[in-house]
Amino acid sequence: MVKSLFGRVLPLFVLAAVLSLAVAACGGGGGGSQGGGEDVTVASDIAYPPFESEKDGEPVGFDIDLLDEIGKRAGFTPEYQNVTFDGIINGLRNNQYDMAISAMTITPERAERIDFSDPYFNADQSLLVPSDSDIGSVDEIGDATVGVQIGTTGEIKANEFKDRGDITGEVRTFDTIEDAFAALNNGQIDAIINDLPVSQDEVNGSDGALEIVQVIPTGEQYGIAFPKDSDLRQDVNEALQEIKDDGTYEEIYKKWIGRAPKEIPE
Amino acid sequence: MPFEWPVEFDPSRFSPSNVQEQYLDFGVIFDNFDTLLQAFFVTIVLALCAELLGIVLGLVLALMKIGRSKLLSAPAQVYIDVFRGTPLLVQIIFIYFATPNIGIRIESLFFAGLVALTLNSAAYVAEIFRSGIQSIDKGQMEAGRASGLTYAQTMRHIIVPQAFRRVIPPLTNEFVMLIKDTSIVSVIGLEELLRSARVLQSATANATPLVAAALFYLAICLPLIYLANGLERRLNRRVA
Repeated sequence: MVKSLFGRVLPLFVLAAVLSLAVAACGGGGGGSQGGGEDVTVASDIAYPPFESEKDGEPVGFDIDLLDEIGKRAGFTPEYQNVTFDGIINGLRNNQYDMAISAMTITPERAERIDFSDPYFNADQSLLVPSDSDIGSVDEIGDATVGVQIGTTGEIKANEFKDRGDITGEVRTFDTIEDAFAALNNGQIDAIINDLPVSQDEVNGSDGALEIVQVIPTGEQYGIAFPKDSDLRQDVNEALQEIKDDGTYEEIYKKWIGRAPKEIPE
Repeated sequence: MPFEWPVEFDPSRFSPSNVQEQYLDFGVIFDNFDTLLQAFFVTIVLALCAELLGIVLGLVLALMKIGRSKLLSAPAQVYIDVFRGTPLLVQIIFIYFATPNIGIRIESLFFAGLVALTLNSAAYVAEIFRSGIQSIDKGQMEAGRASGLTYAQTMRHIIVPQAFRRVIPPLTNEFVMLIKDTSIVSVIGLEELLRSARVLQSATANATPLVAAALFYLAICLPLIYLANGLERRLNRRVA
């Protein structure tokens, strides 16, 4: 009896021990440390090449290189946490992360809830379709199905077109842009409205199967996001300015976007 | 590494007024009530269709499984094992994102969700029917056969009708699970209740749409749960 009771309880102890170890391991990176030469927790939706993607289990991309460089100069080490894009703003507001870099456009609505660094990237939206598509521009979408990523400026833009009547069909939201690309490649949706550099990256890897038929000029700019009144914002802005001034920005830009920037965002 | 408790608590945000503002902002709901209601209908219609089709397919599977022919029972067993032994989320993603690789493409999101939910629920329904049918006294089959009916006739006219009454409570419970499981279809982008609430939550940065979605689920599931419990009690009384 005693033995069988022990036999039943022991696995529970082992489970509890494993769980607390796991919690401790995660907790090390998840704390809300601020300033100094500390680790800072950075939220990012790491499925958005060329800005962020994963290679050998490590995040890589324009945003990652830029923030690593900023951290080096401002004296912190970014600890990246992969999250879905639509959860980032909420997480920042709840102080789950110290900052976020995720190709996030600075918009007045977002700026009400969180703070942004100075802009670090000039972007536009784009209309992406399969190369054999009849759709040549936004006016020609009609009742075709348009894919967007949830919570992005692409979603906002697509809904604007829908409200205006340019899109009469469905605007379908996906959790990640990769899901939307997969659905486009599978022919389950007809077009995607999304950030130009990311769609361009997908076109480059598509062997001619996809093409961008319209650039939708929005003049939007990406910013690094912080919870309101974060102490880190000032340091990040100073480091970012240095990087823009001394040519490092151009280097990172060329490495990931494949050409020199037309202008450096102010 | 020093241990850091991975939960932070910010007392300043934990005030009744903030909780109310974040979870019960009725303005957000009134502005978007049509969207949520429409999404709720998608959820209900999806669950109803999947349940009806799942019952048909599940009954066929159950009959295949309990029959004596290995040729029929083995595939049924494999089917039930696969669909009960893998997560519904995997099945949905597979059906939407992976079957096009071999030329089977489902364009309608609703239909893709319907196929996944039907195939999944059929496996559970099959097990419910199997246990229902096997719970009918052996004497019924013997009596049927003795009065000159074939195995199939006895099944159809005597066993299955009796089993049907017994499986209604577990089937109702299965339907409740199915209604909740429709939320998983949101991963492929279907604007059912959960996705609709998430889109609104991300647009408004307010959690009230999620609370509203939860209330919609409760409004449909709770009555069904109590109905199933009541039916079960009545059935038990009659059997006892």
